[in-house]
Order: sequence, then C-alpha cells, then structure tokens
Amino acid sequence: VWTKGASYVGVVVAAWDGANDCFLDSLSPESISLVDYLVSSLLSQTTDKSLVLPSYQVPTSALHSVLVSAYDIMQREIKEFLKACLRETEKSTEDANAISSGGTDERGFFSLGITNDSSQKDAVFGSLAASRARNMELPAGKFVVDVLFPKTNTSPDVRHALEFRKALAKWTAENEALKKELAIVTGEDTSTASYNAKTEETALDMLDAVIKRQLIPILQDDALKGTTSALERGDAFDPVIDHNLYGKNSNEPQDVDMCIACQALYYSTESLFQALHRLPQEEKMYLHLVGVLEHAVLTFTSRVTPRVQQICSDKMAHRLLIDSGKEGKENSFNMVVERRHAFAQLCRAYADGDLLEKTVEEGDLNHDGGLMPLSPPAADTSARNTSQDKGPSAAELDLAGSIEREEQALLDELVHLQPLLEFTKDSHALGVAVCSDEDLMKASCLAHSLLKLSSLLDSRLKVRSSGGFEKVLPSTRALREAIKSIRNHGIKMSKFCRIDMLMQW
Amino acid sequence: VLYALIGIILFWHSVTRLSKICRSSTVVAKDAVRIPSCVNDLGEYITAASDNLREASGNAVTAYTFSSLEQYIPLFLMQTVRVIAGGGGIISKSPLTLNGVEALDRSGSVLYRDLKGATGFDNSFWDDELAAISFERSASFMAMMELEMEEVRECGL
Repeated sequence: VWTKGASYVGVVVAAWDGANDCFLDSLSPESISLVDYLVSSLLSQTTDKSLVLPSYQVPTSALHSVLVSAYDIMQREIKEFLKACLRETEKSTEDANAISSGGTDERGFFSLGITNDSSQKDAVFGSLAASRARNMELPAGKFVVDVLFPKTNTSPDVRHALEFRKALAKWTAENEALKKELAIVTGEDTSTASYNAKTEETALDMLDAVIKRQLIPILQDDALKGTTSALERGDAFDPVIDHNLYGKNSNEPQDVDMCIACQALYYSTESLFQALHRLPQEEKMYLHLVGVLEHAVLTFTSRVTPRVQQICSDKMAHRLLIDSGKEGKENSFNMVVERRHAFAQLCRAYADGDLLEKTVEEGDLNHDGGLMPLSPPAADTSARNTSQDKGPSAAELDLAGSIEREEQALLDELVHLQPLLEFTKDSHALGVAVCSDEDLMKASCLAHSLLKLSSLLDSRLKVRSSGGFEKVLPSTRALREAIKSIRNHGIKMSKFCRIDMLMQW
Repeated sequence: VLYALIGIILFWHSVTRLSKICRSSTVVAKDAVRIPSCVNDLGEYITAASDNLREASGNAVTAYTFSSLEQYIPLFLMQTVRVIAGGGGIISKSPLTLNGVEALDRSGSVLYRDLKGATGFDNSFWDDELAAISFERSASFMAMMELEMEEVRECGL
C-alpha cells in the first residue's frame, strides 16, 4: 500500500506534464486481494495477543484500519506535493531565474561544449543513475522544489491548482468507490461512525480551499482588470494592422487579429473558462465563476454599444437598418438582408459549422430533425424509392435556385432602397450620409472582431466528447446570452458595412 | 494624420457616385469614346477599399461587404440609362451621341473588371453566374439606347 501511495505522487507528477487522464489505474482489485491476503495471514498466524488491535477483534473490519492509515499517508503525501507546487517561495523565484539564465557558468562562452572531456561525461552518466535513486528517496515537497520545477523550467504558482483538480477529484471518487466495494465484499458495516470518520483534511478539500480562497480572486481580478484596462484605451476598438499581410501567400486564409479590446477579453478570461471545465459544476464556486465571466462580458458589451453608435450615427445605412417600416418586422430591411446567400456564408465563416446547420434547418423544411440516419440491415429488402428518386440533393437545389433567390432578394431590398435610385438628385439632397474610408475600416474591424470573439467564447463553453458530440456547460444560459449579444453587434456591423458600401456607389 | 488624409481623399471618392455618369460630358461627346472619370475613380476606390478592409477585418467580412455588388452595379447602370432615356442629366443640355452609348457600354465592362478584380481574393462571395447575368442584362439595356427615345419609351423601359 505504501508503494502504491508513493506511486500516486509519481502519477501526480505525471499529471503535471499534462498526462492527467492516465491517473487511475492504481488501486486495482489485485492489489486489494493482496492486502486482504496479507492481513488475513497476519491474523491467522499471530500468537502475540498484543498485536491484535481493537479493530482486529471484529474480523469483518480487519482491513479498515489498514486502509485508513494507508489513505491518510497517501493524502499527506499528495498534500505535501500540492503545497510545494502551489506556494511561491523566494527560493523558487531565484531558481527559476537561474534556470532562465541558462547556467553559462559551467561552460565557457566560446567553448561549444569542447571543455567537457570524456572523463567528465562518464562522471555525469554515473552520477545520473545515482541522482535518480536519490530523487526517489526525496520527500514530495523537496522533490518538487529540487527536481520537478528545475527540470520542467517552471515555478510554484497557485494557478497550477486547476491542473490537478480534475484528476485528483477523479482519483478521490474512485478511491471512495473501491473502499466501499471492499467494505461490501468483506461484509463491513458502512453505516458505523468509525467507518465514515475522517481523520484529517483530504488533499481534494485542501485543493478546493486553495482554489476558493486564493486562486479565484486572482483569476477574477485578472479577468476584470484586463478587460477594463483594455477598454479604457483610446485605440481599444481600432484595427490592428498587420503590415506583413501582403508578404504572405495569398492562397492561405488570412487570419486578421481582433481589436485590442476583444483580444483583452479573450485572453484575460482564458483561465476562468478553463476553471469552468475543471471545477465541479454543482459547487458554489462554479456558479460564482459563471457570474464573474458574465460580468466581464457585460462590461465589454456596455462599451461596444456606444462604439457602434459612434460609428453608425447619422449614417443612411444605419437608418435603413433600424427602420422597421410599414411592412412589419418580418419585411424590415434588417430582416430582408438576411435572406441573401452571402449572409449565410458570413455566418458559416464565423460559426464553425453551428450556424450553418441552423441555416440549413431553417431553409430546408423537409429535414427530418437532428437525428443521425441509421443504415438499414443488409437483410432488408431494398426500398422502392431510392435516393435517385428523391430528386436533387440540397446542394444542387441551392445552386439551381440561387439566381432566382438572389433576384428576389434584390427586389425585396430595393423596396427599401428607392431613394438611392434617384439619380437626378444630389446625394446631399437625398440625405445619404456615408462613412469615410477610415470609419468603414473601423466598422469592418469591429464586425470581424465581435464575430470572431463571440465564436471563440462560445466554443469555450462547449464540451466535446470522444464521440464527436458537443454539449454546453450547465448553468451558463445568461453567459451565453451575453456572448450572443456580442455576436448580434457583430452581425449588425457587418450589415452596416455592406449597406454603406452600396451607398458609396 | 495618414488616416485623416486617406479619409479625406476617399470621402471625396465616396461623393463621386455612379449617378454622376448621367451628368458626364462623355455621354454627349462627339469626337471620341471616353470613359467617364467617375467610373475610373470608382475602380480605384474599390481596389483600395478591398485592400484596406481585408487588412482591417479579414476576408469574410470584406467578402460580405462587397457581396451583391455584382447585382447593384448593373442596376445602377440601368438606372442611368433610364434617366438618360427620360431626358435627364446632361441630355437636357446636349443630345446623346453614339460615342456616349459606347462609353456607357465600356463603363460597364470596366466596372465588371474592377469589381471582379477587387473581389478576387480567397473565400470571396463573388457569384460568377449572377454577375454574368446581371452585367449582360445591363449591356443589352444600354444597347437599346441606340434606338430612338420614343422607341425606348414604347418598350416600356
């Protein structure tokens, strides 16, 4: 059991390197049987009555005290390991600085390794095996400080708590299940106070306390301050020009950066979104995190609205888009422009497939819902209506009908654009105010940034299973609505850009 | 300062809209076929705007911004024909010439070429078939200007 306890620490070290999932092959039924056998043989062979502990007098709970002791030892080891990983010490900072400086004192600047002769190499290889054996003997805390962090070139930080949380919770739950299973197999009474008594704080409880008291306030502060400070900048929503754009291969898709404010929101909330995936969803701190994220997104949106107004105010395109008109909301210009194929293409470009599916479902009324069709058994007789009889595919229909659909969309749009066709009047007389080129750039940058940001934030709330299915994190409805409002602003700005471009002609 | 200068220059371009063809002297030119200056300006404008927008917002938003122009530009050309056929614009001062009709026809070709060039980037929403249909329609519309005014009116155009 002790060996297993030590191996858990080893596994936690492996988890540090990102191998969180290979955590729980530890307490196998074979090991339980082995312990069971050892304790039983000890009980049967002993003649010294002083060795018989009180719990041994009840044969059904013979294993309990052994397991409790082993469990406590393991918890202590893991806690010591975690404490060393999470606390920031002055020494660790110095060590990190020493590592980052590269240890040039061992080699001459121009030596290129020539100064290390063969005798030194042998000594190094010889000492390597010795140091490995020595490392195995180190206590967990010392191992972390002296071996783990120097080798991984990192330093203790409370942010590492999230790295361990999921794996540790899984391991703890599995341990509890195995303990219960063992109790059932051995006929132990699990309802007694002695069975359920906890001798000391578990590693998971300790980790949760650290996350709650130390980590969450830091993450919350980072998210809100990072977002707010970027929003305060004068160029928060201005385009970030990549001057190397024309140096790139034009066949590659151009990924333009979001504006500074959008980048700030995206990167400063990254840790909080990660925490959502790693914390238990029924815990209070999970809901608190969702609330903090919603607050950050709403703060961002509160600054987007005046920016949109600033760009769009007094522009003809904006007036057309907000005017519901006499035709009702369904036939308003804002809705009519969404009937274009280009609008679906825009949504597809930023939706990572989600909105495309929605658009297809809305357009194709004969669709059978979102279920995957099952292939019929081979023994079945072939259907009379084969796929050839069903007519052309959806893609073919789209191609065939696209010209007519676009022509109809043009007619629908022209109902609202009649003033534009008054060619004998001057544009000023018609009140056609259009964006300057700079404003149009700002508007398009804002549209791109908002659409990209909302798409990225939305994907952070999804959990992808191995089967390819996606589900959304629970209790995030309000947060998703806030993200959706960012997307709506992005779509509004895209429409504005398109209509304003029409006005330019 | 650079942005302000570009803004001022391109705002001037934005005021130069396609409707100015109606008032262009090239429509009534007797000596030669000349492309209206506003058409050339728009060609330069759309090329510069495409580059600027792609730089600021990437291909998708730029593609959407330029989408359906392949329908609207022929429509504006046809509207120009309607105005001229109705005796509006510069026609009220001087009669339309065949050079002018040819200039309009070439304007359509120039605008088609410029628009296709400006939207020729990756993942553009340019619809080749729709553009061909729309520009052919406007070209045949312009060809009718070779008819007498009364004949055009009789066609109900």
